[in-house]
Amino acid sequence: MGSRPVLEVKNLTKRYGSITAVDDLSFTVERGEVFGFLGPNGAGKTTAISILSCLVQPTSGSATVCGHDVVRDSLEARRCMGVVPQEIALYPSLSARQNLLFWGRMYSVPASELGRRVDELLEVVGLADRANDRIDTYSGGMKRRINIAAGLIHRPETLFLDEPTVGIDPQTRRSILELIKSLNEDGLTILYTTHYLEGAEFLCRRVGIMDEGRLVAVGTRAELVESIGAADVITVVADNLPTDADALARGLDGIRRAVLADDRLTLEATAGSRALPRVVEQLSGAGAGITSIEVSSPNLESVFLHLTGKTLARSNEDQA
Amino acid sequence: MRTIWQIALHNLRLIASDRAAMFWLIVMPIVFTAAMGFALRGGGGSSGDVRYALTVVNMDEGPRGQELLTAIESDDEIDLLTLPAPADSAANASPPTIADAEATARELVRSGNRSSVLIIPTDFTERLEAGTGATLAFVRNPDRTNPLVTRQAVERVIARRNVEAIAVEGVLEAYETLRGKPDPMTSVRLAAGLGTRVMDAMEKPLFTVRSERVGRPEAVMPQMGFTHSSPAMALMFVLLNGLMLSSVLVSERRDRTLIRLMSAPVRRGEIIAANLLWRFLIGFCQMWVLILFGRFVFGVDWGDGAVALLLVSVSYVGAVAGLSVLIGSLSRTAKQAESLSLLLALTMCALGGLWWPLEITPKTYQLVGHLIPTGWAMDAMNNLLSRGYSLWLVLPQVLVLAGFALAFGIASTIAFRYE
Amino acid sequence: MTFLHIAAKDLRIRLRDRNTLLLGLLLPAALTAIMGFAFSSDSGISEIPITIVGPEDADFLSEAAAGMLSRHELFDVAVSDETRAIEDVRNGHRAAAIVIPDSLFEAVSGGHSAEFVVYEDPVSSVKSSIVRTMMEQMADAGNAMSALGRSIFLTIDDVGELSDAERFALNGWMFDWMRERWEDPPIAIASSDESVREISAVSYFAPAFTVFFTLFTLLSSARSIHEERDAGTYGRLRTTPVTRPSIIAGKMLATYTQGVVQVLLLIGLSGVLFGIDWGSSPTAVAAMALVTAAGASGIAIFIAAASRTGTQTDQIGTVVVLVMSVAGGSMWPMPESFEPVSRLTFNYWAQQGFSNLVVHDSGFAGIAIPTAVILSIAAVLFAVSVLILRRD
Repeated sequence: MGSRPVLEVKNLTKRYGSITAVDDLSFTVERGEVFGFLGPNGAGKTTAISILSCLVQPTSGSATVCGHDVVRDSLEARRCMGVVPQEIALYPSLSARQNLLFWGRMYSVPASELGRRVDELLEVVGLADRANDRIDTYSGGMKRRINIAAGLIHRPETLFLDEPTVGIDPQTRRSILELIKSLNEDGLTILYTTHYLEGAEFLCRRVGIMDEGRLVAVGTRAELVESIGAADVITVVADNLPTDADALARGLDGIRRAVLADDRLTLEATAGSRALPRVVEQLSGAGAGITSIEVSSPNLESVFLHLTGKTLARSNEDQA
Repeated sequence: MRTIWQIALHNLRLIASDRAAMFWLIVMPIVFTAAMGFALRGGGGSSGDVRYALTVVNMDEGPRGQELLTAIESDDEIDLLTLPAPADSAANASPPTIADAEATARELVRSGNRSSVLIIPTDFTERLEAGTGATLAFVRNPDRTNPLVTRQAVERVIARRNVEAIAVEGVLEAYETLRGKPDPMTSVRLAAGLGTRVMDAMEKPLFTVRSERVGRPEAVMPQMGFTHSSPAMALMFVLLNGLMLSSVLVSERRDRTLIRLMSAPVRRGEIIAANLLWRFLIGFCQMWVLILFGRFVFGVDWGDGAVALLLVSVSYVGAVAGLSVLIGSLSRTAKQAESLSLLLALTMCALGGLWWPLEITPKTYQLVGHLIPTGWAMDAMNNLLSRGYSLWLVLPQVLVLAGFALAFGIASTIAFRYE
Repeated sequence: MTFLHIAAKDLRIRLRDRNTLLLGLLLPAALTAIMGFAFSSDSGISEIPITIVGPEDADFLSEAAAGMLSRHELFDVAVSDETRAIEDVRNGHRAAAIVIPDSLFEAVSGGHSAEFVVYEDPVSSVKSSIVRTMMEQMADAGNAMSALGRSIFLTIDDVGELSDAERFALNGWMFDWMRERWEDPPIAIASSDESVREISAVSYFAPAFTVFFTLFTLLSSARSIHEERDAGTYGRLRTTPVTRPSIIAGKMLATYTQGVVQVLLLIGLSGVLFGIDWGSSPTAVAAMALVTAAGASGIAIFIAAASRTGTQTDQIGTVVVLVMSVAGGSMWPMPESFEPVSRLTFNYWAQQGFSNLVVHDSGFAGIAIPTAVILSIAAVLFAVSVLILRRD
């Protein structure tokens, strides 16, 4: 392989007073890879990306982007990266075209090339016919797409995407994920942070699981699943779940972990289908009214649950 | 009724928790009124204390010039600033002429440093004593009011001097008319007899003028400039803030909370009434905070017609609230509502006589001022505070203001929409 | 060069905003028009209604007085009794009532004093004070003449007692002589106006409002420093290879350019709408516009830089701008004795510069000092703002 990693992070730490937002982060991202940071809100993902985008200085540790240190050589580092922030960072009273032209100029894209590049991007994100409309007339999904386009205007070597699908409908989310995948297929290296399982599973080759500022595990999906020992995830939704339902479930044979949240009980089971009847019996006996049960084979969610003892958000719910 | 009250209360709570809004409603008007008050008081704002600066260049080689200055200086209204006579030009040793002095004076006035300069010529005493008459030069800046006052003050002093000066001449000529030219001895007797008679007689003026303000003589309503009279400021700030609150309605439309309200069991009329009510309450409280602040901190005398003042404030604030909801109903964006509010508020202040008295404006202007609530409100304030009107006599203004309130209320009801 | 793009982007956003046009152009134009309307007649007072009240048994006196005053176009004179007259003043129908004392004749002949009373409407204080001042002047003149007359009488009488015939003759002679002599008094005063140009209220207020409203619109433009931070576009800018100095320079340039455009537009508008003659040197006017914009944008940017949020910019900025504008004479000419304080404000110097151009047509000479002062203020404020913004 021989080519240098696009992103190299070594012992990166950021403290705000007594709070450690990022704790001794170390990982690399290879050229052409999609690397995902998966973790709940507050895990430190946005802070990590802020450091890598040269917005925030780390307390200790180092990071290089395309071989340039983000602190000492920040100007060069910024030239090679594109950033898509979590919030829509566009000028609402300007049109999509005007926004993209502006950001292109900020990256010193030559004037001769800029117009063409803008048209190209508008095609890619499917908004060529609305190019001259003001951003404040766009729907949420459309804004997100231009938001992404603005990060690509200068043909960066790598793209940092911070929660790009928050607050939009599933269809639009899907189309955006498809867009990102196609960008990667064209060779773009991508760092992608999310608290939604779906995006991480769909896009990322490797995933880093973050919780409370720390990277608790890194690897491909298969590697991570294997590392925790295959386990199914059983999700039970019921009324009148007893408050100690998780403890009850843990007492059952074959149940490794249990997390109770409101009306949802999430279980890590070593052999899901066999553990299921026992679970149903136990809960019904305790007076719960089960409304749905789902059994899924080992996935990132079970990894996450196993490693952190917490559940992730589902893309069809918004746990903002 | 309960619903109206609940909606109104909810909005009041929102405003009260918005520190920025509280700043504009309470702090800003008070700070501004105080600043204005200090500014104009410091500059001699209250009518009793105004002093006008007069610059004098005394080139007189004799004593009469100085006597004149001393007399001018004793005028309470005049603040005398003396300038030394222009220096001899280095080139020639000839003494500076009045032309030099005038040139210097012109420069001073042109640069805006002084409004009026009086120049006493070098031969002032000489000419007076020779009886040939002397002329003072007065250079003024015509776009200031200062020279009007200073010139009058100087003329007053000159008049006395002139009377003294011609007295001897007068008595001699009078005698000659009656009894033929007096011999030297008689002339001396006449001159001596005149003595200080004229001056003494001037000390006991025959004609005096007493002025009396009709109404409430103790009321001080200084009307100059961007008026620092508390009533006009109170009216202005209530109007300004009240109209700016129109943007809240626009935001509610934009945030779709208004349409959500519609899907609740609430009548349209109730929503409109609530909107009028909470704006009215804010305006009313603001008005009275300013009134009381003016009364107890700045010592403004609001008169003893508390009930009348109450009625005036109620009807005025009602009109403002109605107009605010109307603007909010008609505007498409919050910024538009704010800009429109600012435009309307400031022009209504200017036209209504809140910034300068309507009495100095043309009749048409005064008419326009009475097509809007502010003109009537200011009339009511003037009547209450300066003329000491009783409630009955202020009633016409109150009724007109109530009419405005009604009209705006109806218009806003028609224009009201949810999205 | 990126700072130019940043400036262009900012300008495009601001000039698109209809509210900027409304507040920055329409409002000052409207207010200037109103000012012009308000002060359109020369003295502002077109007519002063007054009532003369004479001694009951001497109608001819009040008639004579009324007749004399009516010759002044300014006065609308009526004759009435005291009670009615006071009532009319109280109602605001008459600005003032002049009461001629009953004892006038006795006073004049007997040497006792006679007191005129002027009843004033406190609401029409300007008009009534004109009446009072006029009465005082007449009284002064009357006093001077009567003092002179009496003294001459007494003095001649001392030398040799005056017969009745002599008294009569002297009376007549005295009147004529005094009137004649007064026309060529020993001390005269000759007034000369420094300026030769026509002044109108609009000439004062057009520049005053230009300065005032430019300050306000630039304040809301400078506020964009905080708005961009809140919207995330500033953060995004910081992830691009654009340096902080470029961003700061771009924003300052945008604010300054907007100021220049606004001032020039307002100057142009007032020339067209109100016929204001800005002087014979257009280059001096343009120079003054550039200078004024520099001062205003310096102040606006400084306030935005020193504030922590957009709301704070609005609040502090409004108070500062208002107080400074009042003190500097942008709302109303300040009394002369207030000048030392006025001189501390930007508004004062901008007003001076424009005034010299409009009123005195002094060209570059008249704007030299204001330019120096304003540019110094602007330089300091810009420098401090850069220091603050660089610390981010």
